[in-house]
Amino acid sequence: MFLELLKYGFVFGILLSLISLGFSLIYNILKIVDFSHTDRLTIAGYSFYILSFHLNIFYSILISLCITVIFTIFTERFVYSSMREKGTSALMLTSFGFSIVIQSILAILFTSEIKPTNIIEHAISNTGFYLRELILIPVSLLFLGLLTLFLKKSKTGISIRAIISNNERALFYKLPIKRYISIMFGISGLLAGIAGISLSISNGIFPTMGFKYMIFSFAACIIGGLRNLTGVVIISILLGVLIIFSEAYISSLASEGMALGILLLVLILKPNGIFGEKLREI
Amino acid sequence: MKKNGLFILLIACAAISVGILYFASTRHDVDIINIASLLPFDGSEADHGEMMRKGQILAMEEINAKSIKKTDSLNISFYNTSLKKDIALDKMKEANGKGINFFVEIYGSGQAEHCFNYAIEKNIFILSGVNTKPDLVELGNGSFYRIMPNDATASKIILNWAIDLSLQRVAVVYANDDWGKGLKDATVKNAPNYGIQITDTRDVVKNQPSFVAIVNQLKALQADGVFLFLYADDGGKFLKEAQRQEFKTKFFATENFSGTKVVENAKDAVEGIMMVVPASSEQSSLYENFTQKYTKRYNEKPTIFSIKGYDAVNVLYEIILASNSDVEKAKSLIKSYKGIGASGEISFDQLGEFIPGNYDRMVFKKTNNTYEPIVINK
Amino acid sequence: MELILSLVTKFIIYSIFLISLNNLMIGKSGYWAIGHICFFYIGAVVTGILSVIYHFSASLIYLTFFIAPLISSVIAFLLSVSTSRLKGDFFMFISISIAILCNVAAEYIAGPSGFSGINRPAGLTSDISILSVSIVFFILTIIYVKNFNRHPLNRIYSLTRTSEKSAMSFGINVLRNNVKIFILSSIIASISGILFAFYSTGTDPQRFSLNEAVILFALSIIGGIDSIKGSIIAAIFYVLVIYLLDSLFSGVSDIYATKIASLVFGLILILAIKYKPNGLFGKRKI
Repeated sequence: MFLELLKYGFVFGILLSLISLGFSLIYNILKIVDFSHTDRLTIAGYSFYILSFHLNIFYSILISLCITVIFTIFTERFVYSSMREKGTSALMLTSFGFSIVIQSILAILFTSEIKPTNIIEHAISNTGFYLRELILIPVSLLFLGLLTLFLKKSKTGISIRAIISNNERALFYKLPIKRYISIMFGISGLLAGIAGISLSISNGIFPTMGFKYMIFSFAACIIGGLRNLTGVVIISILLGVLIIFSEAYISSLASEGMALGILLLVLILKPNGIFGEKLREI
Repeated sequence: MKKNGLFILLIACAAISVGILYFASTRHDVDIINIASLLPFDGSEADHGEMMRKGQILAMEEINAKSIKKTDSLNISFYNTSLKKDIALDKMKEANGKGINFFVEIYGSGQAEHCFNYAIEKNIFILSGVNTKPDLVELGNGSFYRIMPNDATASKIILNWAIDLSLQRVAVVYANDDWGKGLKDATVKNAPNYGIQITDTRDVVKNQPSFVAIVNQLKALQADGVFLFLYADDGGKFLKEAQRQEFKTKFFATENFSGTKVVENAKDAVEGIMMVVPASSEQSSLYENFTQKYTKRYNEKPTIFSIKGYDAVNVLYEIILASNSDVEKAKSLIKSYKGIGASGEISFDQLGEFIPGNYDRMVFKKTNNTYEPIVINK
Repeated sequence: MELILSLVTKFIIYSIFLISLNNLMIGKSGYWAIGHICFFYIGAVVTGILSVIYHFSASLIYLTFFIAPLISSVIAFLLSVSTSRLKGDFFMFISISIAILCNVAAEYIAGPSGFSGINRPAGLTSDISILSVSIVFFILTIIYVKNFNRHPLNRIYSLTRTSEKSAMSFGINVLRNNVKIFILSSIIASISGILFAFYSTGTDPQRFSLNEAVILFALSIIGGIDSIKGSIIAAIFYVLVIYLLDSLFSGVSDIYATKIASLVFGLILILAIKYKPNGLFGKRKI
């Protein structure tokens, strides 16, 4: 039983890590908490839901990922970019307002009912995993590897890291910041899209389906130390395991409190996160 | 100074709009029968509110199509409570200010209880289709009635079946809200009288991210059966997870599982699930009739919420007609009311509590490519 | 008439809360206390615990005016100590997670739909008496905040907000000032919570969710940081305008009413930040 819980907790953590990775990418590049990040899960879920009635699974996944990426980049271009000069606080509130707008538009168009997708899935014998989960694990680890490689080795990645560490200096060197921000948003949208499609298959779609994950990915990002992507992933997986365990041994109501309680402890004891470098501002 | 002007302007706007709200309060057509329905259209249970509304609207349209005289036609005003107690009370005040004394629903036991003081004071008649908290009718003191068995009764019905199958150790999975928690408490209280041991109770929060942990723990317990006090969506997801983890035991569900939501969510995992449903509902002509109309109107199958909403409107309409819109008369009439709705027999005892009719025991079985509940009464 | 009475009472109570959030917490300390609503909730829940679980009598229930502010000031103290290490977004996270933890704890204590049947204190049994007590508190709070703004301490806070380091170099004990303002605002917020619990004779988890917290926070930003007028307008918006929008649209199409109302709210929020970054009455940028 214990090992099984561990196994499923790992899968849940992988899902969580996709979301919190995107969350921390946006945090790093814009220095804001993007309240509307989990709405990208919802967008991916709804577009997959609609497409899956008309196309086969492969195409509907592909197209809904594209839609999510485009939506994310457009969000940045048309909503966030004009607010960037007004400071991070304004941007953060904008993201909250945008999230309300998206959720209410979805609720007006599709009602707030939970709609299950029409995908029938069966556990692969002897493993207890769905095919979706077996694909999800290597895909997300691959993405993590590629992302780290991209940020460490490629020219664009190095420039992005320059922007992350010092925005003004990057301006000085005339780096095309706008383009790089779009790239980062695109990547985080892609990650959120993958997670969103997986969620829509397992839990169905509804306008506020991302809300729970916002809190969890919040916690994972901060505990992991926002700048350290590997740290964020490791903590997400640990947090996923922890949530499953607290659901199993305490109660479902406690799982949210558990994640946040640990967040509180870590923030008070180790304000920069477990894997974070020192970035305290006074 | 400009700021001060703006401030006064805004305050004045607010005052004027409150005034409009107050003076425009009698805009209803007084010739027809006006009733109000307080439902949540946003917040965590918005989907349930929307389902109830669909059922109520269908009943209203049906009544209006049938009624010949204008004075017999019905108008339901819907108010959104956002599932907040104080807003529910405010909306009740607003509706009462417009001269509405009959309420067809206040969604949520907590919300209903919050409104009781006002309802008793203003002589308001409430008929609810969903609130199940045990002592609610008593607290309502003549102003509250319902067409849903209370938790104590409902738990006995499901425990009876478990006893007939000679189960001894049973686990409970419940939705963590008024209904689920109340039913769980009642079941835990009543189980020892039946010689059944409740081995574990597991809560499920709204939009639970995963059921992995719950299923895993229940599997380890090796209970004889599991009571599922869940809504259709969560129930379906739970069954899917149980199938994945090869957790095979006897699952008992309430009438929440009727409708297609469970099958849509759980797909083939629903096979063999046992469910208690008010008798003569699933096969009766009334139910068939309702389902057909509902499917035609909304292009989807009804859920328990829409059925209860539909029935509540019909019962309230009959009572209003019989009592000629007199609340006192309605209160005495409802105690002798007897009828059959789409959800089964409806009658009330001397205290005004709902008496559930017979219950059918059903099992989900595969019939022409879909899964449907089939009656297996002995 | 009862409807207007109820709306006005709620408006007064929320004004007290928003003044404590906007004019004291955010305005003076500069910390983004999104989870400030937890003090409001503590006030309400403690009243519920005393009344429903411990069955305090109508005269004894006045004790809640001491117990609830005490508990919330303890939490505020712990929270303010954490500010010595955290600033900016990190503090916001702490604040949010405390708010959610309070919600979870309250759900354990009071059940999924909160307390109901809280008895009102002796002498305050009618709605109007609660309203008049709220108005008294409201006026006292406003007078206090106005005096605070004239006090030399206000200058110290404004220096600390702009630069903690330079404040320290002047020998100002930043931490002690933070503790002071946190405890003060938490006490006022918890009193507004107590009034709310007495008024509605119950607690309501839906009223204290994270969503509501962020909406209240955003509204006080729209109103303008550190401006009493802004707080009052924010309370009017939160209590009256949302209700009126809902009522207005429900004549057109009941099921979409709130959705349209929240869509309008989201758009107002975005536009307000874009075109009025100082808020309606604020002097400072967000």
